[in-house]
Amino acid sequence: MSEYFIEIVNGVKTFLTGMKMTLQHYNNKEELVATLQYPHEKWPIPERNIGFENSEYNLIRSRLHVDIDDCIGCLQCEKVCPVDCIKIDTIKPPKGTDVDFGITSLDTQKKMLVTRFTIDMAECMYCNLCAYPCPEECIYMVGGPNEHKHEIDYEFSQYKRDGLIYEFADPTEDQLAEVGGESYVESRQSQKQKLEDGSNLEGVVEEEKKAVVVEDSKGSVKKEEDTGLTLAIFNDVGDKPARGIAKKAFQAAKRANMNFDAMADYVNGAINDSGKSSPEMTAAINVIRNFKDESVTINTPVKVSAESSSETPEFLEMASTNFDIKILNGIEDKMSRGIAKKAFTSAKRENLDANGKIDFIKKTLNEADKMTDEIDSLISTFAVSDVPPAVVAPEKEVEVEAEAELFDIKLLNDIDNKMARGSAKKVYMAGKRGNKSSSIVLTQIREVLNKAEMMNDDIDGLLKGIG
Amino acid sequence: MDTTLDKSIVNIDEMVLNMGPQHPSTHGVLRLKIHTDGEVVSKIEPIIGYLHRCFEKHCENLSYEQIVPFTDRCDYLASMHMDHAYSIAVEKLLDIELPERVEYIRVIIAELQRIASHLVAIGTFGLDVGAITPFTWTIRDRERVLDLFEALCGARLLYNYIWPGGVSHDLSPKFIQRTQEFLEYFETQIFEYNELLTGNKIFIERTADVGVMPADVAVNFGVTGPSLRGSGVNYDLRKTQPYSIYDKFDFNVPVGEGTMGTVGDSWDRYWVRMVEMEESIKIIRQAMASLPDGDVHAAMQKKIRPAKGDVYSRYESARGDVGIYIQSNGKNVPLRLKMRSPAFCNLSVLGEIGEGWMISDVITILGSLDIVLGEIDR
Amino acid sequence: MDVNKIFESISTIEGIVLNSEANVIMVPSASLLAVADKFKNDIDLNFDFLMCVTALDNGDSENFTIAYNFHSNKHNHSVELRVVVVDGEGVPSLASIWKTADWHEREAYDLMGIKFIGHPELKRILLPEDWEGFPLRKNYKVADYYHGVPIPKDKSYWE
Ligand code: SF4
Ligand code: SF4
Repeated sequence: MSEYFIEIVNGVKTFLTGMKMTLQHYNNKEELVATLQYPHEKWPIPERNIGFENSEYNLIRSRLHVDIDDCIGCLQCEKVCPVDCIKIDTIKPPKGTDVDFGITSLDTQKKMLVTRFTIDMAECMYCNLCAYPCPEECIYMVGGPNEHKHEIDYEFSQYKRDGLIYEFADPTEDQLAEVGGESYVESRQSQKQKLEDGSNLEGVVEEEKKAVVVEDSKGSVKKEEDTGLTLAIFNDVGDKPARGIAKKAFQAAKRANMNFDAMADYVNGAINDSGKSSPEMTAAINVIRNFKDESVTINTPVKVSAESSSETPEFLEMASTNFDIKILNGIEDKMSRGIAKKAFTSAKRENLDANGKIDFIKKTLNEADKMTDEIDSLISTFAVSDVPPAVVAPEKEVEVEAEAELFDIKLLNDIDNKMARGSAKKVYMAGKRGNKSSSIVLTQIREVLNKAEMMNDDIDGLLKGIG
Repeated sequence: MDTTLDKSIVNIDEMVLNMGPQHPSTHGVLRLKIHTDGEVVSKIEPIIGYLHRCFEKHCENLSYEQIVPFTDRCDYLASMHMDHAYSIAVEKLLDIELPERVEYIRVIIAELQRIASHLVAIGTFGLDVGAITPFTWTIRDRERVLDLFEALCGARLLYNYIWPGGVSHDLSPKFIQRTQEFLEYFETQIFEYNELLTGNKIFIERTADVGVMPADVAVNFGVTGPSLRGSGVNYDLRKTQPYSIYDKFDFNVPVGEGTMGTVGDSWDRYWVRMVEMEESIKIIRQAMASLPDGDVHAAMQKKIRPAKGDVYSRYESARGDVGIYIQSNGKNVPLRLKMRSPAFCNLSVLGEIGEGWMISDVITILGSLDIVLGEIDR
Repeated sequence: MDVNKIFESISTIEGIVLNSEANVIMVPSASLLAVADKFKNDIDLNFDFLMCVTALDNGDSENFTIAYNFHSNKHNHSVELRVVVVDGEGVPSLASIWKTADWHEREAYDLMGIKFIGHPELKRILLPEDWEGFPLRKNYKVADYYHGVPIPKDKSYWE
């Protein structure tokens, strides 16, 4: 009989011990849980060594990338793709206007604006056929022999399928206005609208239609309108020339950073000068004037995509360097912008860091006599801070810091004993997640190894070497 | 109520067994409707089409260059052979001469691919009869071939490497050296496979005298490739109607001799593949020794636009005779493209030779035929 | 043996014509079985392999050509036969002579809708039994629905 009770007591005791253990792990998730919260956290990419060098490859089929600054919009790649997963739109400037689009890195004069360059990587079959005919060599598979242009992208996982639709072109509103792209923006907008309504999804039943939003591939939040106002407000105006004048005036006012009242006055003045005022125009101008009370909301495509990408920015692919080429878009003068970008790309090829790049750009600009105070201040900001706030997502920032302080996990590979190595790496990963410094991690590794009685002189020496 | 079964109405001796479409030993999405009497199979109906993706209809809407990646996806275990077969057909239609170097590169690549494909065939065949170790070994060695291909064209399975009029890239740096290293290593491996599998008593018991395919049956069903040669028929396009530059090389065509049982049994089909790999090594060695320099693209028009006409070209792939029938009307897209897939014909014989065997033997026979469903269903 | 010699040796059969431009022999469907018999059993011809049966649409989905590619392993020669047939009319099946024809003819029926008379089991092989239409015909239109599932026809979901 007593045996029976002892059994029960024993059962309860061992059960409680087990629970205690579980609770311990539960309370200390950071260090003791074995799984990783993919894709928030990732294991480091293992060293893949089959004895081949990067230079031994003719090609590596990774992700497609487009250097959009070099693309001349010849549509060769779109035509050759067997599965039609590339979509390019271009706008030619109207006759008589003199717009300079700059030159490519192969010294070809660009003749039009690429307003859209979408690749659906979910549909792509990685045949590489699109890369061969490109005259500017600006569409290519990243990695391998193209490593100097863009590093390899081992995985580009997304939560949703639309995340794999990559958009490479992002023309600014100024550029669009310059080439007379109003009608294009309108048609894009109406297409988006149709998409949201699902009205051209053939064969799909009404209830099942879902809006698909093209997301920005880079994850960088697109330049949000500082005022929230866009050219779209003029779309109601029927008179085309008047619309053009108004939009131009609006752009100029915005560039001059006027407030809404001044902006409205400016546009009004321009319209009155041309004698083209109309009731719709007055209404549109009033929209500008009254904008501050925020009774007017305008849905623009730019806004939509900015919102959707701000939902999940940290999972998206990050720009490879903090000092991004896009920053140079802020340079007003076309020629200087082109020169600066070219300098940027060659600096990147040279593998210079941000400061090196800036110096190089400055030098090139000085040589070309194109240096102005504006440009200087624009790029110099990045030399000081080195981390542009808008581009880096918080997750990445943490990692960057941790990497800077923590030693490389590969150093632990020299531990001979498999068990010890595993434990050490586990502690390392926990430390990395917890953003700890090298010395703390090393002490922790020592503790764990001592406890498990796996410490020996070799490991000791190794850890000392790291410290 | 009378509960006894009227045997004249209901056939209680026969049971219909459904194997697949998802079954580990059917090598893909193949469904076999097997009529059995006890353990003995009385009728087999292969039901195919689960991987059908209208390859031939696709080709009617794609230009000649764009078709190449789609041919890759037919026989995905030997994509290079499909590229090569298609390219030869288009070149025959265009009537162009290729630079010597292209032909040599193509032969080297094709034979490497034959090795890679046979390695899967042998490994999975072992798996089908219950030998698990050889599979991991063969896949390990196949990986080394795939590494070579990856350096060559960036892809490991679907290459898009051999094009009408040439190949997409010249050989990658150090390719010859790497291949030499691989061949040296691989020769020792063949010896190990033989030790592990070929002479194994259990393996022989499971495969010898099982699924005997007489030569006349094989020929009548249009069986080709190693499966046909296993039945003792000396028929290899590389020898009988040499395409490319195969007439320049010295190699043998192994045929089944009934070493362990009857001519044309499963063991013979396996053995032919084994010996063929050795022959492939021979061909690669010869081709590499006399590899000429030169361009890897033939001089031809930029857009492929063949003249009006039809062509039927044949190619000896790892599974057998690939026939490509192209009807051109002078445009840059073919009017009709038909692929005679070897595994399609090879599978059709299963109903004939599988009858009268046990269910486990049907697996053996299926494994020895080495089918790829991507190519059967197209 | 080249195609001229082969033609000569079977020239007694009614209605056959040599198309010397394309190097093929045109056979009326009524004479197909006679030619096949000769091909298989004549010792000089001895075509033991029927390599491929290809159905071709002549452009209007009314007239079809069926191309047969033969090969003789013994004599190492090949030849192509062609039969022209109007939609709805049948062609004699060769499945009883060469078993290869069995599946190939089923495929031609499945994708091009050509009837083979005397075929042991002429039913669809690659497509499901209840598929409508013959996809390889030039006038084939993709249906809107398959079993109530809509078939998307363009890429309007992202274009
Ligand atoms: S790799 Fe092939 S499928 Fe992908 S975008 Fe380029 S051409 Fe199209
Ligand atoms: S082929 Fe090159 S330059 Fe032409 S559109 Fe495509 S990416 Fe741009």
